[in-house]
Amino acid sequence: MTKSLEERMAIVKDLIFNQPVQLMTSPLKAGTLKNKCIGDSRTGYTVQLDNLSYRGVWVSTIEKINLKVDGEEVPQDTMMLCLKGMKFPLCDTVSHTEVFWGATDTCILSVNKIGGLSKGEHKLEIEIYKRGDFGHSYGEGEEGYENATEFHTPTLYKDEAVFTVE
Amino acid sequence: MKHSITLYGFGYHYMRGEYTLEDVLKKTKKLGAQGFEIVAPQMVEGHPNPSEYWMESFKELYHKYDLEPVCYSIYIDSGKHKGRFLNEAERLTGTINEMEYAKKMGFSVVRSQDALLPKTMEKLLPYAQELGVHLAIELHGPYSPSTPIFQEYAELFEKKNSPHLGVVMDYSAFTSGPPATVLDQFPDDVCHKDLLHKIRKLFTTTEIPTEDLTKMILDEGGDEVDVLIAQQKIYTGLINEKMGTVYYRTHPDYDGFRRLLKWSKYMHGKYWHVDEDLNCDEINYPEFVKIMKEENYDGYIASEYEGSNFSMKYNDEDQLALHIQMLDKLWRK
Repeated sequence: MTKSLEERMAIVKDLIFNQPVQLMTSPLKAGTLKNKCIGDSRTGYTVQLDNLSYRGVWVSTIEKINLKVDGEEVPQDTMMLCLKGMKFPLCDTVSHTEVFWGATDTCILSVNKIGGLSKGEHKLEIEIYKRGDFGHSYGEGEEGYENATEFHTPTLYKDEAVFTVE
Repeated sequence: MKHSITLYGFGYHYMRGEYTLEDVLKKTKKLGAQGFEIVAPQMVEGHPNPSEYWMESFKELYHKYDLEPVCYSIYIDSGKHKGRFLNEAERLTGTINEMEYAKKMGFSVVRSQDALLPKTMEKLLPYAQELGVHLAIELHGPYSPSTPIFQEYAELFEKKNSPHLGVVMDYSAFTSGPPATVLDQFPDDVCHKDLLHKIRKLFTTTEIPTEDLTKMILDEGGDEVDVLIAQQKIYTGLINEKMGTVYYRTHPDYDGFRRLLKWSKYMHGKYWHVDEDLNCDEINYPEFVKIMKEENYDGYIASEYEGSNFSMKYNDEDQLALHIQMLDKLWRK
């Protein structure tokens, strides 16, 4: 083998321990960043989110979404999730326990920002913290939930992409 | 042998918008299945409350391809509420709702999950009877028939002795070890691949202790990189106390499989790789098919390929075709 032991070990450790959570699609849907234009007013921008599982998911399992545009953190109180004709402030997704984000439903992250984004390229970075929809633990209501470790720590899904605003 | 294909197997392309529902039904027919399974929250538009219009269109679609709708797969989504599981009222009403839709769409089996709980399943029996469906709990690895919750379910099946309650056994509950393709992710120039294949085969087909397998790696020219791969990717599924699973390797629970067959009308023929000679290294299909024949199993077996979890080198449709051929060959023996 031409590679040293240290080089090989580094490659193998990266493959075993450092791989991101694999999704069927990237959370930031390509080509969907655009400004919110109402007549001649621009009140912000939107980007579509792609599905986060092999099936549809409950909106209430989304615990937090962080978004950066061109390296700058987007304030939480400016963002909404838009799904099935409904809009939810991001700070309150966990309370929407009866809203199902179907596998092929369009889900839009909407950001309020006077003037929107300038024309040209923008880099978006997103972090989505989400509990599993189901797991192997079981119980009745709160009974035994303390042992349901799969629901205690949300999984982090990360994505980044460069978009062009026309 | 009655073949089914779970449309879930096409999920990767479906979720990416590369296949439509019609595409996957067409492929299912072409691959030789008589029936199919749908994962409701994946491909049922409007789930959990699909429209009458959508359901009628769906029925037209599967009639077009002369396919039987067999299994409607539903979930117990315990993650839905932060801080608690579902309560019984939610599990009951949610499952009845899904069983009604399954019936409307023509499915005969409704597959749920163990988190439904036996006491709730018992209360659902009159609804399953009324609707004429078979409500079944999926037994999925790393659970096994001896896992306490499944022993409770088995007691319920015995007590009720009803064709409307049962189990969908998934062959992941009976694996002997990881598939050959588990090593595909590692480039040839970072490990001793042939040696690791030998170790994987020995792990799957013998009871040589893992300490001795590790010593074998080092004695036969391997090094700590190979040991790390073996520990993380080959010596898997040994002990999982939470699931109640103790040991598979050469001891999959054949007796438990035989016992539960009496309550089974549908099963998930899970696998990760079938080779061109129609062998599946990681699951002893010949022995399980032999038991199915001995017990006169007349339900469906679904081909459920999950090989892309380990390797993207193989075409999923080719793999499905090989799995069906393998099952037919074993059934004819």
